[in-house]
Amino acid sequence: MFSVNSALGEVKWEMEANDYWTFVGLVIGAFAIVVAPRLFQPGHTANSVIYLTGGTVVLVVASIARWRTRRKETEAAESTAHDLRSQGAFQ
Amino acid sequence: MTLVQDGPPVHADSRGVAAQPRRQLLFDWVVKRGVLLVLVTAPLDSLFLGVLRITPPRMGYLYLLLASIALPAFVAWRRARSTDPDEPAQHFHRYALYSLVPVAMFSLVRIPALSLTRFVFWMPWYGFGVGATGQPPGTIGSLLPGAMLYLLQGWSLGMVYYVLFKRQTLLNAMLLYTGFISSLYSFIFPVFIMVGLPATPVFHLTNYWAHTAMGLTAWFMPRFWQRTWPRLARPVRAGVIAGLALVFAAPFTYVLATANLWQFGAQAHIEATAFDRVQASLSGGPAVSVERGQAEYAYVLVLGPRAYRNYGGAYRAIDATGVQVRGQLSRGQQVIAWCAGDVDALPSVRTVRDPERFFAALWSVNYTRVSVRCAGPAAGIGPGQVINVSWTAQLLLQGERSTDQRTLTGEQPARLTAGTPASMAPVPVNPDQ
Repeated sequence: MFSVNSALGEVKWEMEANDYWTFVGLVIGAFAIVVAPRLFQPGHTANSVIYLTGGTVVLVVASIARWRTRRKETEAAESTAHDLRSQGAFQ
Repeated sequence: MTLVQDGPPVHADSRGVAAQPRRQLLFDWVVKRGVLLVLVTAPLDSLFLGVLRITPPRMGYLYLLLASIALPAFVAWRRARSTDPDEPAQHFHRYALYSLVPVAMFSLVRIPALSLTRFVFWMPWYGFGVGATGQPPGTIGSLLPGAMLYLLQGWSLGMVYYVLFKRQTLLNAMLLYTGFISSLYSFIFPVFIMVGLPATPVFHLTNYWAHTAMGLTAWFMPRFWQRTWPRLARPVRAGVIAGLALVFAAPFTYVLATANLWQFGAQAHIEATAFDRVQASLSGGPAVSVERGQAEYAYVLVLGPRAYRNYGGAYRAIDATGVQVRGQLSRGQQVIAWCAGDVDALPSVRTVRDPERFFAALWSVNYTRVSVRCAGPAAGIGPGQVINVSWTAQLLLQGERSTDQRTLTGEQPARLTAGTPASMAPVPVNPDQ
């Protein structure tokens, strides 16, 4: 029914534009509203480092996934265009 | 073309979507996801409006009430109007049920933390309950409403995944719960919510571990109900429903049982020990001034320590009310003055809800100075003489769960100094005032 292998098999390093911008909005929005006013204030060093690290990881991974998705979209579009041109040449 | 296979089918070509004006995309997002997000996260929003001091807590509860009324109306309206099968309102009833399991899993996986690390994960529930009802912390009266608020907050956190994201992929779940929410939680809780409780590595690790379990469950729920559930035989389905009900009920049942069987007793024992530590001691020598044959004295009695750590390791202070000091000054066998000093209540940190201010307030009240004044005949009395100071302090000590009437007595020789009673330090004001 459920296994670690099947779960890992579900990880596709791809991301929709809506989901990517959602992550960007969440990380930057929370930083601006909650974290930035208290960043590295006395007693908040560890918390600040944790949020900055977590937020950066989220943005980097989401950016890589989005970049891979756009590259695949471009390749698929080029492949389709190539196929259409080939079909036109035959006809 | 479907790029991500593990979510609902893509109904709009991404290139076509990209061609739409950005303003239209933003408007669509607001109508389809933004408004719904604001409504479903009302339990979280109302909490943070209060802890971020943006609005008074009562405004947060008003927002929660209004959002609860508006949510079903908005969902019904969007379901009637929307033609987009991906719009979260179309699947709201399913998502609402899915989200009950991740919040239970969030607590379920933290249960071993109590025996492994003494991390009491339900301590914030009391804070939520106290904020909502005003009932004292560490009691069933604040635990039950706090658990209800926690459930609502966790439910809305689960809904965030289903409402915000177009594709309910494992990557999105892990980035949201393990990456973003855990990191924000590790920042917000120590800053705004954990009053008197230092954020240890155990807290951060438990936070990441539990949110990861929550994310995995949130991701798994649609897969289970859409892929696995239809293939199950009827008896297995009955077993699955029973299992899910057990998963949902287990953490709350566990907390109620543990609170009754362990926490309340442990707290009462801790408070009894803390009560025993409170002593009254003399600070310096009494000041004396003689006028018209009458000698007036003043001295300071220090009461403390009152700080202690409760069942979950959080710092608290024993409260003391009805403080009544009576005593005598004597020279040899002869009583030379009679003393009194009354205080309605010693300064308290009970109402300090800001973690940033808590420890400064706690250490300022740990030892409290109480002024005691005495009067007697002036014959032969003057600065430099050694007298005997004896006192009896009666006070009502109060912890989170217990109270105890105590009588503290003491006696100490002291050298008289020159001064007036008015020059003695007053009782410090409540640090929260």
